[in-house]
Amino acid sequence: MPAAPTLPELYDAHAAGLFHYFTSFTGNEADAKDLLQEFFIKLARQQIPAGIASMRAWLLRLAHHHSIDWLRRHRVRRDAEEAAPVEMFATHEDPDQAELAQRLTRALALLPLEQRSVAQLKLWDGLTFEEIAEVQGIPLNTAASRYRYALEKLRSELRPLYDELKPS
Amino acid sequence: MNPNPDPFENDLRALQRRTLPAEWRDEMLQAAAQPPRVARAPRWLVAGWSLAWAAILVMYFTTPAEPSAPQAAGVSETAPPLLWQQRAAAIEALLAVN
Repeated sequence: MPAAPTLPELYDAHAAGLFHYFTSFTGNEADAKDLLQEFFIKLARQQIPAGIASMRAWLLRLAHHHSIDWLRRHRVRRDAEEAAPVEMFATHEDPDQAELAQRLTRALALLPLEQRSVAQLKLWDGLTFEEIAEVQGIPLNTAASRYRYALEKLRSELRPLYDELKPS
Repeated sequence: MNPNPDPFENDLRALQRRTLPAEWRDEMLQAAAQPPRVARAPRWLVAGWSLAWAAILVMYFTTPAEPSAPQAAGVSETAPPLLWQQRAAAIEALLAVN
């Protein structure tokens, strides 16, 4: 059985993904950073089990509970959904990609929290629907349908730009 | 689950998410390495509490002992019947007067 990873190893491998996941709940960077900080403090004080099949999914499950606790404490779900979108993507040199990234950030901010978080887990964290269902404590079909709805909304929001960029 | 994701999905997936500022790493790992803070009572409260207990102990050990317990116990065991007898006599005296 492989040894449990150290905290710096976990940070290097997963902090960015966790931060983006927290951002989908908080809607702003400062709160997401605080959540990430609290999350690592919490992680440092608990036994990290060795031999976990998917460390990413395990951490995201903890992160999901952490985010739900945060939402309960702060009761800012509405504010988070209405806040200005946090820049999520790296700066792209290709102007078309940069434009797509910017529009996508705005389109993601328009999605309901449930769909946005599922889309993030599927598209950029590479989780399967089974893992997403486990992370969020929802049925598999719910995870799949939330993703489908999210993707359709993103497609319709981005269609004009996407169709314009596609031939190139 | 879906072996052939559509090109739109692939294009979204290809966008790189931004990385975190480098300075966050040390900041967060240092904060995580700090020992947990234990909630403690303020010093003045601890000092006051200790003084009060010290005073109680000094008074306890310097005060002379009370009269011996068996005597008191004897009184308390015999007292109720005596009281009842006195009370009954008083009631009878009252009835006799009336």
